[in-house]
Amino acid sequence: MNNKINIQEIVDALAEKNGITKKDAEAFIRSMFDLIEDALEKDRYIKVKGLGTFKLIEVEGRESVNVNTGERFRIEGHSKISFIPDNSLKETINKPFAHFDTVVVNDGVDLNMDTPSDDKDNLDEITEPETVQENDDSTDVPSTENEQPEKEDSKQLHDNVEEEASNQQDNVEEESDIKETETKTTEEMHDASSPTEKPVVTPANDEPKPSSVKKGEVLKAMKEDEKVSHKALYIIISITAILVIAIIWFAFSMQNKQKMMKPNPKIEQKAKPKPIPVKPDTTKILKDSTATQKSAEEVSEKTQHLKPGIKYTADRTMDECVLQKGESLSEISKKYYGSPNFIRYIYLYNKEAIQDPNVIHDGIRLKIPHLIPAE
Amino acid sequence: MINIAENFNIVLNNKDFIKELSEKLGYTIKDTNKLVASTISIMTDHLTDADSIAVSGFGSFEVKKKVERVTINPSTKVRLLVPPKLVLTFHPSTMLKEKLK
Repeated sequence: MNNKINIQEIVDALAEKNGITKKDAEAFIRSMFDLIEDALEKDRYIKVKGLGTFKLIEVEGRESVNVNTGERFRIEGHSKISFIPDNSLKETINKPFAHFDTVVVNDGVDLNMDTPSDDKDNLDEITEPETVQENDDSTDVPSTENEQPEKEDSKQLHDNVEEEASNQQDNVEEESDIKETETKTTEEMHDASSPTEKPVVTPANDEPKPSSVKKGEVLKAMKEDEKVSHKALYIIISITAILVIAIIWFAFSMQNKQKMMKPNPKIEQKAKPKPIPVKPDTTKILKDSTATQKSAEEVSEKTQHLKPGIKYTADRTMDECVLQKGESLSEISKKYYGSPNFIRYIYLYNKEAIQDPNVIHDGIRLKIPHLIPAE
Repeated sequence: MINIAENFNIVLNNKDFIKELSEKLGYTIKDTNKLVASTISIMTDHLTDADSIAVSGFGSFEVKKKVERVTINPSTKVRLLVPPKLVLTFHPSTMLKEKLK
């Protein structure tokens, strides 16, 4: 490893491998490299299969400065040897790292992330909610408890001291003691309240109890537990988030559907715009739906689907509308007749209101004629 | 053949290289091929062990580790993490450098 190998070792290996004398092997290798040299000199390029390509690259002369004296001088143009290893050789050399791939770095990925501190933060975050479920372990981490910890901790200390001398039976007793105190807190009722569970819980407790020495282990185990529940928490949060998003999306799509169902009434009522209820109120929705039904009927009366290319005459005023800002006559024509080609009729019908059909101001009240084919 | 190649300034490829080498040493082309291949495989074995090979009067071959780095594709602005890799480098000896200058 990391040795400097000179030609002699290669000669030895070659001689052994091919059953030739060392002299021949050395002569062979020497002439091989000599030939590479000669070829480079003559052709400026040589390719050796399995090894690579040697090339002479012309370097142009350039000005430079002597670092010590600050003197300017010229570096003459010369040739430089470049060596590009053969693909197969390149791959063999890089074999230890061959499984790595170039990957895209996502935005927001901090490459100088400090993982240990991260872990700590997570621990602090998690332990708080976790204590509810892991009451047995929690006695070991004072910071995680709310009110009972001091009591229990001191007790625990006592216990620990005692335990060092005594056996597990004490343990069970102490356990029940602790259990009693725990029952006071409402959160941990389930574990302590049912006596049948006690024996189940206590053996688990025996592990962490025999104590101060094993504390590190206990903490480790806790960390793992917390990591697992951390994952579970994330999963739950993400699921609820997805559900919420789905519900919102559903609500929006429903609203959109309603809008689609009453496109015309909305535009007609622009003069007296009706606020769309943001928070769906059941009564309002009911009202709305009846309104949409009504307006839909009205719309069918107030719009016509006319074929362009036929002459029409107006027989009565079908509807009135106020021109909105940015709205054009052709849009209105499209709205009422399904085609922008009926501007003429609207203009003719509103000749008094419209002085110049090319310059119309918003706010003009337009009468929309009901058109019948002229015969 | 080789003369023709030289005359027309055609670059020497592997075949020509082997042929010239065999003529120079009096080996058959087959033997030369075998010897060259085994020489290179011995070198490769040493190089994969992270050894460096110094050929006196010619230069040295060395394996270097390139550390991983983050590059940015200038046209798409995508950040790419380039993994670490081992590359073979060749440093010509000063003798060879002088000769080819």
